[in-house]
Amino acid sequence: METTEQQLFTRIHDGDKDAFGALYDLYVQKIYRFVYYKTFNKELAWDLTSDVFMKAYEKFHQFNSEKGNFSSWIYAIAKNIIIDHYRSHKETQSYSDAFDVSDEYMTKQKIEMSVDIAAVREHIATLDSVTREVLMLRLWEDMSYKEIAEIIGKTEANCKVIFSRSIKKLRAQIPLTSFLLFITFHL
Amino acid sequence: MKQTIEELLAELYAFDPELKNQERELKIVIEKLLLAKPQVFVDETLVNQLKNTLLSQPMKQKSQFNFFTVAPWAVAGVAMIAVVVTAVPSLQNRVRTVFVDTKPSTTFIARESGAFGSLAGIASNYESGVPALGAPEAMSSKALSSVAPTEGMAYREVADAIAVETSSNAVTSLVAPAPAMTEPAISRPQSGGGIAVDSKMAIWIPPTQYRYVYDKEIDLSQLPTTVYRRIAGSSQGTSLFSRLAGVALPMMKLSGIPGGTVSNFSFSDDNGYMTTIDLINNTASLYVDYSKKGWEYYNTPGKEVTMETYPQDDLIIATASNFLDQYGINRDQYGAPVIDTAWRGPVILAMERGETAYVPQDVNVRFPLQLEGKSVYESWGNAYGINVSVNLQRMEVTGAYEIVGLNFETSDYEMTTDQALVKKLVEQGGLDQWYYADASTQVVDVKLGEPALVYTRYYIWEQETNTNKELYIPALRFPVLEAPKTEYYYNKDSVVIPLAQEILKQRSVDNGVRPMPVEPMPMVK
Repeated sequence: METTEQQLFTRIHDGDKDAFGALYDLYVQKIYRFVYYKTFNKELAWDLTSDVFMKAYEKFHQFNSEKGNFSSWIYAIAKNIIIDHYRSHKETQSYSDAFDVSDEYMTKQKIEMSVDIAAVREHIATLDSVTREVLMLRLWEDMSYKEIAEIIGKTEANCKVIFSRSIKKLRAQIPLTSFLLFITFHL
Repeated sequence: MKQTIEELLAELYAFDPELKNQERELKIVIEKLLLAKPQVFVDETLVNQLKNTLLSQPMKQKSQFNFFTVAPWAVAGVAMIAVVVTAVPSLQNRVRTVFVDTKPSTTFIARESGAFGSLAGIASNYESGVPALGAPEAMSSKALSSVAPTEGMAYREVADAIAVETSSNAVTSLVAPAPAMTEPAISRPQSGGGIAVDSKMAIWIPPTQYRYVYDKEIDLSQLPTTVYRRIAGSSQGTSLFSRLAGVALPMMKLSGIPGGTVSNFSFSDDNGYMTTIDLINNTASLYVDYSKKGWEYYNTPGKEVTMETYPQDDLIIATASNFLDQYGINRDQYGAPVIDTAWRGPVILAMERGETAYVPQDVNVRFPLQLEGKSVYESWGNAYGINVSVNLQRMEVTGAYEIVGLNFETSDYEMTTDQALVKKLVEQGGLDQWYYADASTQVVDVKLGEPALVYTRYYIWEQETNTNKELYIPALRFPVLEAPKTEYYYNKDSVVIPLAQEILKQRSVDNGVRPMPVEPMPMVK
């Protein structure tokens, strides 16, 4: 992956726009999901995602792969754009409060578990925004702690602590009945 | 997923071994958390459209400028432009469909020095239709050129010829009408910034030579070297064509055409405006769709604006600005708007003489283009930028012109250090001011103020491609301190001299000694 992306960077810096297209293909869904988790609005998430890539395209000449990886760079752009959005919409909701994910497509298993999933999401919503971000990036986006650390601006060790504490907290919060119900469905 | 859960658990245990005692519950928690991931996907059409939009735009390359060798003011200018370039589209202007309505941006691509070829080519705007200096055809105005005087032709004869020609064309105004606003020349308010007077007899205006005087030293020691070239052409024409191919037309089947590119198109909108887009030159213009509103809508008899009822400048500018905002025309790269007041002089003069004169019912608001924080001027001396025509009766916009795509290449060129040559060009009023003069010509001195560094728009005809290169050259602009009191001064309010060495060197070879400018003007009285 690193080699491929590095090749793309070189080509883009040489003026090959198609190489940027390839990079776009790699990241567009990830960035969209990331924005969606923080806006819970499909249309708005896409608008902001578009802004992210517009800005990345405009500013790519400033990106230096020797100083940081593209993933953290574009997530940082996304984060700033989301923050800008909430700053300009103070009256509605803040960046840290925004969490109300809902499914567009539910699997059969999820439909069966929808009540339970809704409860889990409610618990996730009680976490502070940084903890929630670490949890989402690690579990839902399968990112390494190194990548997460670069995006949220903390150390790797710090991210591990946050993740561990959040799991323990959720373990304590989610009622036993919920576990039993879950186990019944699964076993 | 199982493997992921195991990995996650291993990570947790490595960090906190005691957690292993709760493995079963933790497993369930993690699995539930993974299942709680919302399944959201972006429509592939949207994804592809955004991608196409992105890739159809020019991409900014790593700068080749060495900022440390550029004058501090130039660095500041570039910094200002950079701010503009990086501006994020405001959420208020967020578009319903992002991929269509993205805020137009400005791009600059640095090229190596001299990348645009010789600047001593055929300069379209400065030399259009004008032969070398001293040739008999070297006349100033289009009207004079069209008369095609022969060598030795006296001014009286030229003027007679003009009078004959203008009697059929009925020229009534000192001020050129705005584009697409040619009105029949009768004595009524003009829609295009002109004025009209109530007479029809051509009068003779004595030839006058204006000598532009600037007697101080001209500092040419720290000039910017960057020349800009506006990039024409758009890859969006191809994608537009592919979309059009699916449209069913009554006269022909577009889907039968194997492929193509849309070069230009126009449409009439629900607000009553026509928009014309030229994708070859990356330009756009908007103007009233009179088929919807009717010609009388903006010129209602009895509602003419007079000097007494002339609206405040702020209101006119706000009308123009709001219109541009409404149509998503980005003004980030443009300076503070200026209202064209060239009509005032002739109107006031006519009023002082007791003649009937009309205030134009449309005035032009110019938003000057900025490069490196400097305004761009035309060779004639007027600011260049978006031009919005505002109707004063309705306080509505009747047209917006010179809307261009702001994608540039930049390249360094050598600037002149020849102060004597610059002074000579200043004295004659600019590169495009060469006129035939005879003994009957009266000479009027026009005092100029301190020059300012600006950019001037400059065209060079490229014979290989039969196209114009649209260049922006560093220039000095000398403001006219006081307009001459002569009766027919034509409102030139500054002298603009491009500073590229190649251009001036060519002029010094071609032009040698140049007669002073003379401007006999046809008038109807």
